[in-house]
Amino acid sequence: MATKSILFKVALQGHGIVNYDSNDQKWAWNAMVRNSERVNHSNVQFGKHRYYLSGKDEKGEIYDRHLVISSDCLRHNIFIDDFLFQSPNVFAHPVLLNKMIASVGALLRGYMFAQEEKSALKKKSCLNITEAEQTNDAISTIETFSRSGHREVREDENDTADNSFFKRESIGEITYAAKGSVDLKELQFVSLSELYDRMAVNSDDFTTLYKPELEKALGPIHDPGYYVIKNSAVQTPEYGFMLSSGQIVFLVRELFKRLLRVSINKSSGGYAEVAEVQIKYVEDPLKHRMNIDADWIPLSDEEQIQFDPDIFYERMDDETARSYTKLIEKNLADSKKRSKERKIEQKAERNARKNAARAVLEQK
Amino acid sequence: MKCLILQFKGAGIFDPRRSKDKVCDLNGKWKRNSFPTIQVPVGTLSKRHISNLLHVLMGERPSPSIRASLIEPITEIVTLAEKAHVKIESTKDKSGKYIQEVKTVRKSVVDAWPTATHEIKLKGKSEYLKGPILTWEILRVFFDGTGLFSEFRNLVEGILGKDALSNRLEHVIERLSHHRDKTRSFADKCLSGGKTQFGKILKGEKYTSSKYFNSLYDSRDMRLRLTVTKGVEKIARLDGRIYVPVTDEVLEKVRRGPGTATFLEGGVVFIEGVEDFSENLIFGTQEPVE
Repeated sequence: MATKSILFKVALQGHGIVNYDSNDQKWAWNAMVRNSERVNHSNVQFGKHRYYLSGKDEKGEIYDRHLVISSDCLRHNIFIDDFLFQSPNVFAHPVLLNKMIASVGALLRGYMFAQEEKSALKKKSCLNITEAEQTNDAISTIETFSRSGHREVREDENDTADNSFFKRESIGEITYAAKGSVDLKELQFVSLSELYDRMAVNSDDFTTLYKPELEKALGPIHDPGYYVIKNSAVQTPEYGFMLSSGQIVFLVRELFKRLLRVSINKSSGGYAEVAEVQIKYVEDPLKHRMNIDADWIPLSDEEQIQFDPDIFYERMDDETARSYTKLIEKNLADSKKRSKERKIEQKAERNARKNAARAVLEQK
Repeated sequence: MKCLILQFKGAGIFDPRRSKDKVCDLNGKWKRNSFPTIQVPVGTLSKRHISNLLHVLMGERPSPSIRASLIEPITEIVTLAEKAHVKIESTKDKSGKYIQEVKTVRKSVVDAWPTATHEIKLKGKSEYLKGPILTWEILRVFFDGTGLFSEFRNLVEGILGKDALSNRLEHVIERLSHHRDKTRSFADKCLSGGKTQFGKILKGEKYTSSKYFNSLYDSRDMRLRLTVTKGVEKIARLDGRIYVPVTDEVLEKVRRGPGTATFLEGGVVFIEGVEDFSENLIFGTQEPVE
């Protein structure tokens, strides 16, 4: 059977906290910890937490707190070598834009470029990943640190010292676990049409700018055509191109290559790196599930990945597609015409009501 | 009847009363502050969220919840979503709300000019300039195609001497502010030549209602345009389960789908199992809202 998606579990190990939250976390912290641990200072750096009710005693409810690395932080670090930053200025330069969106990183991570009076370009990521949650019993504490450097002093303050004290949550050795999936349906099709709100590439740039760049990374690319989702109730064709099975396997290997090498480093001394990855090929979504222990494969090298991806789309011949497109265009035009007629009718009704009211007033 | 059990993790939901994050409406038909948001009470989810999730799990396309679109949801799947039951397991604080965290969000480019300012001393007085530091290279691009850049360098050389050209531009502007009588004609040329921002800085004149001098970065030139497309927003992360009563036909459709989906902001959904539907199974759950 062909593979529909790939589930994975990731174990991370590290030292210290790598993903901090805002100072506002102190309200949640103070509500969840016992009196002795409460914090009343305002210059405190807290990590990101999840709290779980673990029991009750005479003093009230007892909560366990687990440190987490958010999914956004993990995603940022998985693709850290692909995207240093995203600048909207790229959108204004067709060559730079197409070089960027035709890269392996962009296909895997996804992107969205939106600008006024232009069609947005959007590609959803095939990678779904949860936050990594603490799995060991290490307990974090609030410690005092000092910082040196210029600071702004209010006019009514006499303290002109250039060092300050602040508090920060800290922890020692820590392990985390995250899970996720790779959606092969999302990966295998690149839309060149606005019909379904997901145009990933401007079709006018496809041949001249996009295709040559993508072919450098993935080899020969199929010509675009009209596709429908297999077994879908909606048979309206979408213009785009499919990646070949070999290209899908290559991209998935590239994704796991990045995942296996994730190492998050903070200048404050904390680090977290991937220690173990396990994958499961999903051929039957109801049978190959995340919560079942069977069929997990330990992954130490991306070259181990070998599967036959399921094909979720099928090509529609151009003649049929064109007839559907004509029908859509006709329906759209009819709908616009009806809407215009409705507006004219509503305006006429409003005017008639106004005239009637005016006539009544004049009579009075 | 069977029941499909879906587990979701890390599904982010913005507080619609506080959130500045709205659905992107590039045509500008809606005013930003009056844009519709989905109000979801604590403890449940919206039918539209669940309907879109089921669309994806069954291999269909989701349709936007608020924004106008050509994609219409499939009625049979919407009916399934209406019959679903939700159990959210995230911990609440003492006021009964979900604990929120800070998340980096993408802002709409339409509303993304940088608002940070920095100090510049004009005629010895502290003034503020919007945006990052001005450099000679930025000025060169700003004056590109006008010949004003070399004219400005000659002006600086004439007033402050040749050495001044190797100084930082902002330092040069600060020193020039003491010689406004000599820079006035150049500043007027900037103002009449469409290079208003720099002309105003040289003259020391702000726009009437503004506290700051405008930066050269908010120019129409895309090489200079500097926008901040990231911001922070508060978000609650929800974990829980969705119970959907299904028929064998629906299960067959799920079997042909990808078996995984994203949910709300950054959340992931996994299929947890299929069990016989019973009242015990859905004990403690809530129905989704409109």
